[in-house]
Amino acid sequence: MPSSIKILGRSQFLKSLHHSNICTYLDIMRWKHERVALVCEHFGVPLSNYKDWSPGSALYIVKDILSGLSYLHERGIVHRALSRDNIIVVNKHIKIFNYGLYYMSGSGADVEFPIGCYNEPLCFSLDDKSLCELYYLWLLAGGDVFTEFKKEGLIRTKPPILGIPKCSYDKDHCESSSLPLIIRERDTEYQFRRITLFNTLLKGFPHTSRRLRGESKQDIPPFLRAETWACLLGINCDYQESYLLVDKETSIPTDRQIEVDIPRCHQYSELLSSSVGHLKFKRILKAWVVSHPEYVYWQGLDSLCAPFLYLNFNNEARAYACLSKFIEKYLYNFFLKDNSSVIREYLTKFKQLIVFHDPELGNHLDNIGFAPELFAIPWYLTMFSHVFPINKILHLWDSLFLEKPSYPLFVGLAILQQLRPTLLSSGFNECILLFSDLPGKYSSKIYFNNSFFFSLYTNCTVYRSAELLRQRENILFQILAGFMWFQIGANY
Amino acid sequence: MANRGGPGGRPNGTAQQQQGGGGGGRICQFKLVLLGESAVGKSSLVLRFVKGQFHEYQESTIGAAFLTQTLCLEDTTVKFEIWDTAGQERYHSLAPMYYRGAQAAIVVYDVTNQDTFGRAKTWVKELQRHASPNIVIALAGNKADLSNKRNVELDEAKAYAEENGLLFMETSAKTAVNVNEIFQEIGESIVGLFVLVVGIQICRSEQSRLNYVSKIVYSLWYRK
Ligand SMILES: Nc1nc2c(ncn2[C@@H]2O[C@H](COP(=O)(O)OP(=O)(O)OP(=O)(O)O)[C@@H](O)[C@H]2O)c(=O)[nH]1
Ligand SMILES: [Mg+2]
Repeated sequence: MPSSIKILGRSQFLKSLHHSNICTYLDIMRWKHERVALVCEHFGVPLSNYKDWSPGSALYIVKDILSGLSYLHERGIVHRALSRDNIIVVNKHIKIFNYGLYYMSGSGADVEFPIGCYNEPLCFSLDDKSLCELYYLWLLAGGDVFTEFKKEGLIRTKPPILGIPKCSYDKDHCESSSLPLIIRERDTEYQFRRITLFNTLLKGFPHTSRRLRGESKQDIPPFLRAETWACLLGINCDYQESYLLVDKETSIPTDRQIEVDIPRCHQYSELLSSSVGHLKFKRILKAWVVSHPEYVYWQGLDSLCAPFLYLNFNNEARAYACLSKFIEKYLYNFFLKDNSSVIREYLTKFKQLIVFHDPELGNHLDNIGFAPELFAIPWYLTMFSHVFPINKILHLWDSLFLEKPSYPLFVGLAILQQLRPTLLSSGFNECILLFSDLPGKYSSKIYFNNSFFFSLYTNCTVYRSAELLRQRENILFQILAGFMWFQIGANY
Repeated sequence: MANRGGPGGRPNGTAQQQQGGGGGGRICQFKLVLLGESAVGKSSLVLRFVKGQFHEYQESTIGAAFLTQTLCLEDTTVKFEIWDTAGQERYHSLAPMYYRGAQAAIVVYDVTNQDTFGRAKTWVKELQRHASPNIVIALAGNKADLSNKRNVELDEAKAYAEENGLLFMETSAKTAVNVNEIFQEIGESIVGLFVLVVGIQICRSEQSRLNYVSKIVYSLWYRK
């Protein structure tokens, strides 16, 4: 594993440190040639240039340094490079800078000290949270740390964040909300409005619950997706404590399986492939196995956990809480030791839906013996998280949380519909090859077909025709949907 | 897991023989299943054989995956229909629907892990008991490139394979050593067996049966 990946994984923790006497880390990035860039708050005068040494100011300086350091020490971080240049004075206030290098390099194991250090001054002083937001918006607006480095020959530079247009809350509101999701997610102004709105809604949760669901139907701002998902899933506020109480260390018989699965799970993601990522992954999975004695670890649980860990990299407890709630809500009893009847029931419904919606295709698949048992188990056991890359899963699950429990069946149907012409003209072998697990096949057909996904979450054709269907054949649909409510919605 | 009659209940389990387009070559279609503990490299072996690739981060298999590959053996074209199964013990109940009616099985273990060898032996026993009696079983000691971390001795595995009448090779999906070879050897022995069995069934009288068998044995002998 390259050192830069290890560093990247470890340093995610630094982003979670917030204290008035330390500079906040905003981002850590990997680049070509094993380079790692840190983006950190840096504003004010270093102590080495500070002139006012009156007793009064000396007192607050010492006090602030100590309180910053003790905050770091409590979290297991030793500065190891404390110098006057790394202590910054901002408005009669001290901020400790550059404290993360020793920690992120695994106590110096992954790099050779001393490290060259280039600062990227972000010229505003706000409270921590909004600083992170602002940085996120700066990135959306086209800000690129590495371009800045290159442009300036690695010299201090003023980022273009200052040039962001001032946006008023309701201007152009309708215009951009009608654009495709992918574009909205990259639109700085739009995201600014959404983040502001969602911040308010999340603060007011659970009173804002209905509004939050309504707004989430339009889209969920990626910056606040982790928090939003937790609310949509209905996570209780005591999740930190309950996670702390679970024994995640004692070895259990499932350990071997977990250990061989993690290094094969969504490893194209830098976070999930880092050594810290693996550790967190293992703890969450073990915690789930230990605290759900009625269930067992089926291969695939790892894939299910991946999106939650990816979003909550600095909040294991929340990732765990989301995973538990998700399984309870959407995969009720799928992880029983004997889950055969549950899966058979689910797949039978899937088959019925195919036949009902598209008799021609249904009959054809039946005639050639192309049964859902042979291709759809990895789909539904992992709610598609085993077969799609993370960025697609995020969007798919955004809708999953808001739609009826029968939604996954329609997603499956939509996939078959998309391949309909090929399926209809093929025999068993060709059909099943379309879905065989090998990378490439699947992906070129479905993963990267954006138009398909657009149609899926912006009211996909199948889903829309399902709406029609619901009006036309109300009764049958209700039986179907009712069944699904009973099946997987038992815990609503 | 959802247990059914067999992959789709379609007509499998019978080796199909078709007359090839030109030159009178045969085309044979065989069902082959891979079994073995999780993470020993079953999917990696298939990926290497079918696509000539290796992925360090090969995803784990849920349920099973299906792939096909064609091999040419002298005058016969062999089309493998490969079922790559999930290795986790829990998925065990699904296995019969994949090995039922298979003409060949590759039981894989990891040469760096003794437990996986034990599991492989269990698979061999199960196949000998429950799979079709003519099934050709091959034992593959995978990850042979990691021989410095070896935990299963070559001689031990070889002796076991001989005792049980299995084909045996140490393979590496990573470096491609012996991957095509093991499939090729399986292909050859099934083709031989297939011709023999079908031939015996076709020949009614004792005399012609004898003639036929000696002809086959003769041709196999000289092919080697
Ligand atoms: N060094 C080495 N590693 C290998 C070899 N074959 C597979 N691997 C690695 O071993 C791990 C497991 O391989 P898989 O092919 O996923 O194993 P599997 O038997 O299909 O596992 P399940 O799907 O869980 O049953 C992967 O990380 C591979 O990269 C090999 O020949 N040499
Ligand atoms: Mg596999």
